Amino acid sequence: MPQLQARDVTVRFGGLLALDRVSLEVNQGEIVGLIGPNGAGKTTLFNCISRYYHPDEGSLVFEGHQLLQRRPHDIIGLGIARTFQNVELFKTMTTLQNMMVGLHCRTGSVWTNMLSFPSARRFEREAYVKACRVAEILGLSRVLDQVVSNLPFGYQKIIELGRALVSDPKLILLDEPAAGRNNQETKELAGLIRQIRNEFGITMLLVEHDMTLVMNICERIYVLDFGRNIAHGAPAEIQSNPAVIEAYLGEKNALAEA
Amino acid sequence: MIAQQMVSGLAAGSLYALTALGLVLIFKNTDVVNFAQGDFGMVAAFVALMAISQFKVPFVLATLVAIVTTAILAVVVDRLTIRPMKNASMLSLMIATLGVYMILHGVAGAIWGRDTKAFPSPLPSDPVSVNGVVIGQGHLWILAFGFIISAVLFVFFRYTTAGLAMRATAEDRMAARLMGVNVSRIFALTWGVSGALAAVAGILLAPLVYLSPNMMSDVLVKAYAAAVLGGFGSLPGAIVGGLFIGVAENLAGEFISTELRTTFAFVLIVVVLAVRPTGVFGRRIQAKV
Amino acid sequence: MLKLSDVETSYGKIKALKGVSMEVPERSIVALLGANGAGKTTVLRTISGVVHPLNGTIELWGKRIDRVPAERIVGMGVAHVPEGRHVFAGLSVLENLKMGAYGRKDKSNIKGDLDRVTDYFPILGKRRSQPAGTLSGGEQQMLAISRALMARPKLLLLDEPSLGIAPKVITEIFSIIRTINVEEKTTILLVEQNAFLALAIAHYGATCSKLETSCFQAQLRSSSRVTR
Repeated sequence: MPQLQARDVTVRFGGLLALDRVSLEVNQGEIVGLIGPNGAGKTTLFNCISRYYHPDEGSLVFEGHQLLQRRPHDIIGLGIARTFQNVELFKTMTTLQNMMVGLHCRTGSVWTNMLSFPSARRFEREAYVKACRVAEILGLSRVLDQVVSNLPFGYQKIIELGRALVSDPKLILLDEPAAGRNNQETKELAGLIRQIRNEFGITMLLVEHDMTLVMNICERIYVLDFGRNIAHGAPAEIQSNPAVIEAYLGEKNALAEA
Repeated sequence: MIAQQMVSGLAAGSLYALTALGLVLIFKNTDVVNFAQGDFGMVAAFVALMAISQFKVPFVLATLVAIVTTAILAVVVDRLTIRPMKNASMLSLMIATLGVYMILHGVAGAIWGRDTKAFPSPLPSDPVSVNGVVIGQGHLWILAFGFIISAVLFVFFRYTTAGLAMRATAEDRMAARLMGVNVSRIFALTWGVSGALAAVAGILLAPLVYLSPNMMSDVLVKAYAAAVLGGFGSLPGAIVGGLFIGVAENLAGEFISTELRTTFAFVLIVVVLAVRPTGVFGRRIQAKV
Repeated sequence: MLKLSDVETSYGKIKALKGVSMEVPERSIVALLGANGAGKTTVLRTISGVVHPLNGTIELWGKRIDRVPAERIVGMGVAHVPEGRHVFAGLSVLENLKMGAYGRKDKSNIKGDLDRVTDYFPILGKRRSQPAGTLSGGEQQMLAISRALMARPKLLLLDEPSLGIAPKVITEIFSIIRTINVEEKTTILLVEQNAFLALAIAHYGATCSKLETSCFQAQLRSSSRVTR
């Protein structure tokens, strides 16, 4: 049984069908890509999984839990963390503080924290150690004490990944992780995503426009267009799928001649 | 009876709406919550009265002088208090405008005295009867001016380059600068227009009440309520909010209790906001992620 | 046409540029490449006057522009399409385009220019009365570029036009950038993370290296050489 299963998810915004019976399955430990033109509904599907939107129809099951019966703040507790297309960090806080927020879902009650019980302090310390370790893996150690709004976009995206990792997720939804990174940095990111999966067994579902990254790391790819599934398969199949080329990839060497 | 209360409610509401428009305009374009907005109207009324009674200027000219003076005053307030604090927090800016409110109050009291003065109205005020409904002409004039000014504002924002630049600046300051918009000039224009709106409200109100430094206090509080009800950011919302409060308090005064008319109006607002926290015209602020 | 000499810029205490020198020849497309945080965006922001340099000079046709505020630079023929597009979301597409021509004196030509830029991106013509915020990412990028063109710039600064945009649309946008360079004779300084893409259309490449941020220039034509 797949770890995450979306079945016939439909979302309407007014008269617009943002998602039209979209289905997708992700197995434990897989790296799966979700691609398609701008406005195809990729982020909308992410928003359904993280419960920002409530689908009009369809079901979402994660490890046997019906997600649609859960509230948005329960989702991270179930083990689903995400990053955002346009980066949603606490802008005036430092890298370290932002990453420690990722553990917030695991803290005890407000009272134990406010009264600073020994358990709460111990927890703070553990959170700190954990955030530092994740920062080291992600190469963020150098900027731990910098306020995030001063850091370049590419860094901010990685800090979001860090915040997600700190929460001990089973599945991470990555929304355009390569945006704002150059070719070399994207290559490093590919290694990083693979490393996270291999070492921690975390499943990755990513939305991305950088095809070198997608084709390089994804084991399977789903393609959406106008809110519908139009293709699904291994990278090589997707790259040669005429429907996908027509809707999304375009002709490969369109810019080369001149 | 209801029709009569409706009309006087709409008239009062027009004043709230005009004041609320100025508040919302300043807030949208410059992120400042302006507590001195009501006092701009008070200053305008006094300036007009002074021009009429001391300098024997005809009413129309006195009104124009008052509007221009107030617009300039608003621009000066922006330059002297808000602009030097441009990196301050919203709360600090709010306190600064509260300071301006105190200063204008004090200065107005010192110049024009604290005792109340009557304001001559050149417009006929005898009640007229429409289909058997007796309506104070003063109310009709206020309604007419409220309508005309709203229409002028609409045309200004919709069809003029300056109006377009103002909206663009409110949306994205940096991008507007890159288009060649001089943002500090837009701010000055915003304050000037808001000052002029307050002046019109003050002068329209003046014949109905006695002039005193506190004459606009009630209007200002209700203008705030109107702006909040309209979503604090929407100009049509400010107008509808103002009219709504005016009508609600008049009907409450008629059918429930004269003493509780304002109370009732505000209870209604609390209820509306509980149902629709963003105000009637407000956009739900949910970041697109 | 554009010349930067030892430009240093900082945001508060943080130094973003430590001595950048570069030249942009007239009618060329220059791609400015480099790592995250190397200061590419800051170079563009310094040229367009959003930030002013601490030291160094920026000359446009031999005239110093490093102290000119952003709102006057556009009148001197420099239009900047900022990172993240920054379209006026609540204004219609048409109003956005009109804002692009805000500072122009020759009001009579604006109508024709509206048609001309929507010829480059016909989708904008179809969406002219729609609020810009409802456009897709690719369409917003097209709008941001068209809006800049409405100023009839001699020099166009483009900051990461490919950010978050589907491959097919990127190809479309980049080929139009090249068309604009040829047909409008507009000089283009392009900041881009994707070096392959940028060098496919650029005549010159310049790199901002990490922390060092001194730029050098190299004549490049084939994209295969900048793989690092």
